[in-house]
Amino acid sequence: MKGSNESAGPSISGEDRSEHHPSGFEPAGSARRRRRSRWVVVGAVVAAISVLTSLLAFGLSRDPNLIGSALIGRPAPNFTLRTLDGSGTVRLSSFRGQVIVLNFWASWCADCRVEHPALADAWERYRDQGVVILGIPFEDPLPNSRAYAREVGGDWPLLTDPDSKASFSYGVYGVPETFFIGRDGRVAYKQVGAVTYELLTDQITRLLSAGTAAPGGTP
Amino acid sequence: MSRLGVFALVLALGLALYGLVASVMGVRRRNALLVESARTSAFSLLAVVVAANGAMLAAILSNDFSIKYVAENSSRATPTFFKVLSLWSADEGSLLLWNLILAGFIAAVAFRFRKRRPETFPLAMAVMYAVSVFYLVLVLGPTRPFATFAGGLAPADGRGPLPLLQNHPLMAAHPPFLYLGFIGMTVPFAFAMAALMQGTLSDRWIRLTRRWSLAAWLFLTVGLVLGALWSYGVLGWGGYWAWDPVENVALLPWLVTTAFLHSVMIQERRGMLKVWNLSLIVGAFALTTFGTFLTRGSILSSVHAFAKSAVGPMYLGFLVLVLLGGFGMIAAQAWRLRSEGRLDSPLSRESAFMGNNLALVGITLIVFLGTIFPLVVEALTNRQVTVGGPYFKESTIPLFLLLLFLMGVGPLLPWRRASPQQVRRRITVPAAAGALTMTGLALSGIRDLAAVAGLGLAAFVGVANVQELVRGVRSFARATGRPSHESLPGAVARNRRLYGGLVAHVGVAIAAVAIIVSSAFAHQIEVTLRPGQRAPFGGFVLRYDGERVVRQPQRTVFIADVTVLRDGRPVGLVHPSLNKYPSSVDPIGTPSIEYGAFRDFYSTVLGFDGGATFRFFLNPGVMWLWAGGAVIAMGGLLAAWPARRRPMIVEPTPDRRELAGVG
Repeated sequence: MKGSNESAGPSISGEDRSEHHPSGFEPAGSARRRRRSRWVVVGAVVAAISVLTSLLAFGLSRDPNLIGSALIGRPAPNFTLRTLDGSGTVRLSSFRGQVIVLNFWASWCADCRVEHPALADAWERYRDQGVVILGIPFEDPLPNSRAYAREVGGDWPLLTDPDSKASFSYGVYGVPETFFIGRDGRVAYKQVGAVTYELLTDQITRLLSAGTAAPGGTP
Repeated sequence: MSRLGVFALVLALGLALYGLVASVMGVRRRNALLVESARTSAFSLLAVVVAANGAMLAAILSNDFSIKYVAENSSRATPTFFKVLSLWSADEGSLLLWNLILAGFIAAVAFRFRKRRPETFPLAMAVMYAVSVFYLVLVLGPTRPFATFAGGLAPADGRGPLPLLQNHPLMAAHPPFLYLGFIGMTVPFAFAMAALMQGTLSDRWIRLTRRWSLAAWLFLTVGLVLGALWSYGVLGWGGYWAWDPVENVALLPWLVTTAFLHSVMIQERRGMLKVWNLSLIVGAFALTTFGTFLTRGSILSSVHAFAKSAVGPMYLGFLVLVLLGGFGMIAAQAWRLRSEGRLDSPLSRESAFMGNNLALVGITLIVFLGTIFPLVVEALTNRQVTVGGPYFKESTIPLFLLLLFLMGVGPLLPWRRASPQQVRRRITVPAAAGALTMTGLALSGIRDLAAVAGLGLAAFVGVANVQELVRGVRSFARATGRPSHESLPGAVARNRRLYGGLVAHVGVAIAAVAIIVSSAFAHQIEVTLRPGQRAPFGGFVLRYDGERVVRQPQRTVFIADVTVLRDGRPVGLVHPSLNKYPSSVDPIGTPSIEYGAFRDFYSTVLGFDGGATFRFFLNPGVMWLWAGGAVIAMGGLLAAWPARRRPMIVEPTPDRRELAGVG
């Protein structure tokens, strides 16, 4: 970059004197003052950029999963929903005393397909230990939900939520979103985006042991 | 399709990297062949980015739901027109379009300077390629528009576009125009950076990119107006501008670019404000980056938290690079960029332009602070707040009024120095028009001080600029000895920039009237009516006739028919509706608007529950906002339109040959 200048004129460092003092004279004090004010300006610009950067970095560092988490620690909103295969209805409160994994999904949702095997594995491992997984489709036409369920399999209860009342009461914004409900019936954790097997096992074992540590919680 | 798309993007990244390296090496080694190869690779870059966009479009049109983006943003039932729009209706796809427009600009620059190459050309190409590399990495790494379902698990049908985005055809025009404006800013930025890197100290970059900046500004203007039009016609809250962060971040670069378009004239004529102009263009480019960062990095609105983690930091890094690089370069060279002229008189066009710059930058700061304030509060107190319209309105109104005043005064003042007599002669008619307007409004009982002042000033601006237009054409007619009406094209052709500016000012005056009138004198009511029931509103009577249901492939539409009566006779029909999309819980309303030259009758239906609940608005003057926007765009077009021949320079300009450029 500097090379381009060589034939065009004096080099940058040579240029500066001839140009800084076109007439060849300038009181020394004013040059010093100007240099000092230049540093002030540079300092101000750097300071402004750093403040802005740290502010935006803070904005990025906020955990977006915590944003809609007003439900955490509160009793899980109850619901009664028909099952996807039409065989009956499921009532959330009937699982009280068990650890519930409430998974909102949709047939058009990419990450739901990603997390499906993790859910299936967790279901296989914990289904007999007082853990239930419930799948609720979100903003999804019924035939599409059914086709998806046939396609990916999974034999934990899949429900329907035609008026989106359940997703509304949980404040579901997009899918997948997964709520972990403890034995006391309170929402303990909310995951936005795909769950992993590790996350499922961590949360489930935590909730299972929390339940045993404090037996006789609210029935 | 997915493979083709990814392949094209990888190839594009390779080409952009090559262009970057070849231009820099070409400059260093003074190798013209390398520079030329960097130039021509711009065309290949454009070709492969077109191919990537084409692959996505083909995937959308052929319902290829194995691509996640297609599954989440299109569906079988989506009409073809809206399928095409799906290309940019979500994050990943819109970045593809972004890359397309950026590659288009690079190719356009490469084509424009195919013969005569300014010395800043190679490094400017390098800067643009560097920007392109960033955006290509973005679509190859953190957001992957061509990502497919693992194991080929394609869903049978897709979700379809967000209902709000498939509700109005303006979605076709608004984002592309905005992107053209945003990305167009890259060109002047690149040339400014190149000039700084080369240390040429010349303001040739301004002349070279004058039309490019003007074009970017023009696109941004049109994009903003179309955005307002979309908001007005779709969102159904009765207004067109809500000071939403997303709107604000599009307004910010527009404000700075408007300032830039004016202040560069001072540099061209007087050799002043060199550092200021460089700062403005770096600021404008940084603000476009900031805007995309804010809307895509899920910082403020937090639209969604999915897989966005890597985008935010990358944008932030890029933004810091732009800010540090841009302002760092300016700081390094600032002491060499000394002003060659000085302000001769406060009564001059220069000083009006400087005032306009201060006002515009002031508004920019206010809007910027208001936009990031929620973040500041959250950082300090961990509480979430929002900054509403009143803050923006109340704090910017004085500056907007000042801006209007200067917009009228500026064109009346000559460069360098005006004699008081000259000013008095020219300002009489416009000032009288403004004063008359204010008096008339005050006498008619309007007590809204800001509205009265604003309307008076708008009249002043309109008359002043029309007067200058007429004066210019007349003096040209006198000089050429032809009748005035025949001289218009000749006079305009001789100084497009001046006349374009005057026309744009008239457009701003019209738009200002519309904005003031529509925000100060609007009425609204909310009523629930059963079929056959009537409600009086603003001199009309509204009769709800009943509900109709129309089933369309992609949605069900519930329409409320309302007859507008005046003196017992029907004068109009409105039919606001609610649209229910299968993929969405909440129905999306479509307002029904009877557009009028003086007022719009705006109606929305909020719900059907044993009747229908409506919100009706009488919005005066909104039509003039669109008209004003069109006039502004015409002015910009006039100023930017390439002249057939090089315009002769009439006014003597001081000989300010670039110091280092002359060897």
